[in-house]
Amino acid sequence: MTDERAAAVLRVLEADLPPSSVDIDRAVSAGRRRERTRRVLAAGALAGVTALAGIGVVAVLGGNDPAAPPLKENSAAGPTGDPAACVASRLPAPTDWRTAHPGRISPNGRFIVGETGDPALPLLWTDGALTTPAVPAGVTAKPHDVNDAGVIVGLARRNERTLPFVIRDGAYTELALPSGAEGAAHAINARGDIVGEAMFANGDSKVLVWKAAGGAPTTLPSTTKWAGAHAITDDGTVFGTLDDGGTPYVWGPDGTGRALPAPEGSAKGKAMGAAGDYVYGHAGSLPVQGDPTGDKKEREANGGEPRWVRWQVSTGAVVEVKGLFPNAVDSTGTVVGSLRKGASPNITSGPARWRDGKVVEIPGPDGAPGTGEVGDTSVDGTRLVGWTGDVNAPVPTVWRC
Amino acid sequence: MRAELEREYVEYVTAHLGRMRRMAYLLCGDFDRADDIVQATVERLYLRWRQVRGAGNVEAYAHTVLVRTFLAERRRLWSRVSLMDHPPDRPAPAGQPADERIAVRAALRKLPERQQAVLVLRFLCDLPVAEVAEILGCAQGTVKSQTSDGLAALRRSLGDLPLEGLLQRRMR
Repeated sequence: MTDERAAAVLRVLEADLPPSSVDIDRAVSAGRRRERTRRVLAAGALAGVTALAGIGVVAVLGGNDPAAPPLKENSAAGPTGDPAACVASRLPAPTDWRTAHPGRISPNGRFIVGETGDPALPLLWTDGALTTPAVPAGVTAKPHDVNDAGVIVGLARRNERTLPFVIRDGAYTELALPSGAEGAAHAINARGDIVGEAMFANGDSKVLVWKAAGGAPTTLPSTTKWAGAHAITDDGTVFGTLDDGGTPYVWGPDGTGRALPAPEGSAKGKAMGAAGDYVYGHAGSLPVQGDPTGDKKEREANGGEPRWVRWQVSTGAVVEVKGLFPNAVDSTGTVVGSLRKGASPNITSGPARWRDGKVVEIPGPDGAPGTGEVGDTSVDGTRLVGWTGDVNAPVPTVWRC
Repeated sequence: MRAELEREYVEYVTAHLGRMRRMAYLLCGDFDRADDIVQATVERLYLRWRQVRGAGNVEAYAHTVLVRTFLAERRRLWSRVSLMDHPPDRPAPAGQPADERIAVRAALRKLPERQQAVLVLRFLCDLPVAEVAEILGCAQGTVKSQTSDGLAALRRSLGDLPLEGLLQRRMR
């Protein structure tokens, strides 16, 4: 295909739009409200009541929970190179045109799951060797996790329905769901308990646990419209969120739930991964500052990004993870992910990890820090998986640390 | 806002709503999310209306807010574990095979978000290089290189798919 033809192919995306749901009256009334708020805040500042600006407004209007544990500030130094720490090597990729995206690594580091695009199909690397687990015709399957026994769980699509699946010893099966629900499996622990989500026709969602022993799934208690979970530790503790980022939440092995402690200045959040005593996720968003006509640097520094944090469950300590976009945590509390490199508009990501408040860039297969991302870590942090190279043709990569 | 200004704002937004919704849909590929992006854009436009209309470049400002709202939303979504990683496109208009549209949308989604925006703005919204550069806050050279990189990546993704027949039908 020539460039012109590739450009012309884009025209296939044109569609007749359905009736508009944009509400101009709502925009006007929201705007009027904002103008009033601005005036009130400005008047308060003039009267010397308090100086409100940026994050201060959020904190004052949102109210501080007096019981909130102190947020440990880390003097987030810039990324420092430590090329000797981890050695990268390429994972074998499928031989056809498809791109391989490695996703998760088992806690013991032996198994890695990933997917190819279009149609989404699972990939499994066992001790570095690639296989493609079979799925039934007409099914697309995206792996979300793999355990030490090589059991894969994830999200399948069949007949336009979203369904939780498990691949055990090479055999694909779909997990039971409450009547009428769709769903997905998100994580599996060492003994084979699986956590996932059921989505109901009315839009509600609930957290499900399928016990290793088998039987119908257990629905974990939640009182909000939405509940979700993304991690299950070996004792059966489940980590997730209520109201999709509304409250970071944990359910104990007996199913009783409680909110994870929020750091000072945050009430919201979502737990996204766990290993041993540590959990990572976000505590709401950093305030959006400026606007398109305002200062670009300021906006890019803060523009509504999640406020990433790491919890220690036994102590309740919450630490802000700065300078890294996290994808996983290990049992030493080290968080892996990517850091943002370069200046706008040519921003790329580089593989990196965060430990004790410092972000360290991790070298690629050529030994030098480059582009890419760490997607997951083994439980002890000695094996990492992710991609390196060009984002359009990512090279599946493992690191030995 | 004074009543007169507010009336002017409502007139402008009403007249340009269709164009903004189309742009947002082409950027994100989902009707509902497109309308959310437009809603956020017009709310923001209200707050800056006095300054923006005074500067006389309302449309450029509206496009800038819209595209950056899309990009900011993509960054937020990217950081989440989404249940439906790629919300499927809606049924295709009559006479257009849905799988081809989904294949093209999937290929586009694989590009970095700014490259996606460059291709949509240049080839579907027919905006000139200079305006795209202005909207994205970058140099014109960057828009040009992102255009050719993006098209090359699209070709790589779509090369083996049977889109040629579709293309011939459309070019006839």
